[in-house]
Amino acid sequence: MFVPTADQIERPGKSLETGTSFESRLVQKIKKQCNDLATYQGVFVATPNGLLLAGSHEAVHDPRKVEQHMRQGLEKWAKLSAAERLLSEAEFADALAELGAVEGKSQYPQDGLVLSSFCRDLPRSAKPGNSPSRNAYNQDYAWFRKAEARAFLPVQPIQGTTHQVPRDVVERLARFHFVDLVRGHTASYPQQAVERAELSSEVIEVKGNLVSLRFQGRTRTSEVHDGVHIEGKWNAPGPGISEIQERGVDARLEGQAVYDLKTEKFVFFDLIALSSRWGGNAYNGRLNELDFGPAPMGIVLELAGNSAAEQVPPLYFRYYGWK
Amino acid sequence: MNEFVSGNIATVLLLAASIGLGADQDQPPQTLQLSAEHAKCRELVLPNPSEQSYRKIPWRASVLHGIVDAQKSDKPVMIVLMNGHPLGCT
Repeated sequence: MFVPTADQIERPGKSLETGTSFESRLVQKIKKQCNDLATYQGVFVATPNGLLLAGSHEAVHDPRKVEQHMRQGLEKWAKLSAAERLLSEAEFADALAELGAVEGKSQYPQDGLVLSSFCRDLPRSAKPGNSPSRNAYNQDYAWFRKAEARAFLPVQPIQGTTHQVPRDVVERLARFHFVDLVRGHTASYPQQAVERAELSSEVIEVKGNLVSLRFQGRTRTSEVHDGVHIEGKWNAPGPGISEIQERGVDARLEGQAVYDLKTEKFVFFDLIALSSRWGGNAYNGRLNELDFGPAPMGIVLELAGNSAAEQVPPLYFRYYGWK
Repeated sequence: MNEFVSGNIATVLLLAASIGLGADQDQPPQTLQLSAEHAKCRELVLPNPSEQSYRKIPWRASVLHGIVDAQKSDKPVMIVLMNGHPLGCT
């Protein structure tokens, strides 16, 4: 009935809000037909040529409203002629050309390592009213190029060998993936905030092409407000906000993986970060409840699939420094 | 945290199934059951099937991809737009 599509308004090299690409112009056209709200966030049902059939900026979190929009959109769609709903041949050629160019620039590490990352608050002490919501969790992806993925194990994987994963690889986890995103976005950590970034892999067994590894490690990031207010990173002064704000994540790492030397890819990966996080701001939802910790947070990293939906770039990909 | 306990059959079976063992590898590689704390954390953090049900939908991950496919199949496109990717970190 529909082609289901999800997208991010702003990402490196792309701004649907202000861009001039075919895709951006089409989104802007759809949005203008919706209403005058500043936000582009929302759910929209549209024709391929950008005619808005139904939609709203408010419906995102209400499945019944989304359903209404979908039904309304289908009713309108049924009344349109091909000329009214479809792109012209020339427009479609433009769209195809742009899609080809975008896909050609993708930095998705097809031959590397792509991990799904999930984070959620962990149970706290038994104090009444001190339990985190079980409903809040977030998901992201962590990308590693082929050589970076290979660096998770020793050059010569011999049973019993212990290998230190290179610091830059572990720092990527600490700065961009061991971040309190449970309830929403906050800033990633600058390199100077990384106090510890240690991960060792021990070769447990080598069987044919398969190398079994055990991971253990520790990362710690810590930042103190330096007097400069950054929206989405620090809170404006106010009741319940301490004068000197701090934020950080202290994570104990444990996991296991299996690497296939023949295909040069991981076939299994399971890394857990048992963390204590502190700090918070309005965007990551900690301000509302003055929930600045320290409080336990769990992060699980495991192999991602390769569907289109699982090739979404990591939230902080722009800071990876990949050329 | 450092204490590992004996093997976990379920993990091994899952692993064996996922890697498609060849004739020269008729036994799965050794895997470990990690600490109880690790297992509990994993269980608490990973989304349950209900939370992940939206993942069964064949989403296109960009508006452009959605529009192109909608044109090809002569269907309307349903677009979810967010700050942060709705299929990633929102």
